[in-house]
Amino acid sequence: MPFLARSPAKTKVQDSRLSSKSPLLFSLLDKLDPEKRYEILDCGPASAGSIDTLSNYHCKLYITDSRSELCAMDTKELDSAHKLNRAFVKSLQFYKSHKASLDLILLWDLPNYLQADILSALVTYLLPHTNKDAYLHCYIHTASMMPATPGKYSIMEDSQVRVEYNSDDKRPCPAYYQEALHKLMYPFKVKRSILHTNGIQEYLLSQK
Amino acid sequence: MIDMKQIRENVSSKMKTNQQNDTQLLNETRQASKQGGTSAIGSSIHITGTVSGDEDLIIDGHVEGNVDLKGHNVIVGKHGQVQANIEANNIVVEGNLNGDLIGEEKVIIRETGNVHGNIVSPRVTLEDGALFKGSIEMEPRQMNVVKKNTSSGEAADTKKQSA
Repeated sequence: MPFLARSPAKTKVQDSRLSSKSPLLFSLLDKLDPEKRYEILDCGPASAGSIDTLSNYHCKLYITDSRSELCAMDTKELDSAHKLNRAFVKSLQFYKSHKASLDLILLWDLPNYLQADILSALVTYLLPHTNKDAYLHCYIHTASMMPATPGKYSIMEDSQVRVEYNSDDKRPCPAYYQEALHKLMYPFKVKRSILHTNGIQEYLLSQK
Repeated sequence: MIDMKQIRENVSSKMKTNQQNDTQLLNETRQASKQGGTSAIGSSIHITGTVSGDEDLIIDGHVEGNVDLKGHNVIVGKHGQVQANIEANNIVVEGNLNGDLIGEEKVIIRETGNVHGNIVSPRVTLEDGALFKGSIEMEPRQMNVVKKNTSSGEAADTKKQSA
């Protein structure tokens, strides 16, 4: 199911590009203090809109463009904590010796595409690089099918987030419930969530 | 508290204006190159070491090491293959770059650009289609304007003193 399924004709910007409101993400951005410096992790590819919007804040933006590497991770091959950690370091490049201090993690729709154990391990890996009051933002598909690959997200004007998919192909969706997310993303807990009209649930999680 | 609504309304118009200014910068530097005011590293040239100087530079060849051109502009052309840290006033990347960038004014990654490294600059522009992996250290534009306005008097005083 594309990002906005209800009125694709209206929201379709260009072939596979769709836009949608993202109230939780923008409510969080609204609260950012212009006097403070923030560290933000964007697990998706670099996008002009996100960089331009976030350049209005004093922030360090980490763009890891790590969708394909993370989705390809398999616990059958990465069968030890050491191997997993090495794979995450290679993909995300956060080192124990040079810790980040993340205030916001933008996972976009990645949790739907990662093996459950990989998702848990990812959160565990990021934890030492995360502030105690950090937020984690993600989109969870709730329908039975979802796009075959994660989307490329871009923060746009007018509280819109644009998403672009590589193809129209679909695949079965894990359709995580809130309780499942609590387990998979421990110690992050759901602070707020909104079910969008297209069946995508927007989540904002934090440790507090 | 930041007025996000206003910021978002301004983002599109800013992006258009920025793109026009960026294109102007690129054209001016290329024009200066033709007139002899800029050096160029051709596509068959390989340089290993530190590149420094007192003029703008266009890199269409291979550079490994460091490029130190504070106060000047550096363009990594479409054929440029750079494995170096670059420090300059404005940096435009149209080719491949693996290294850290410090742009005193701005860093622009064009649609053909592919950058792997960390960027520190008050203004970073990424065109659609450009590839980037790394970190970007940014300061808000509104704060920069305030800083520039308040520091311009100090800068003028310093110049007077040094003169």
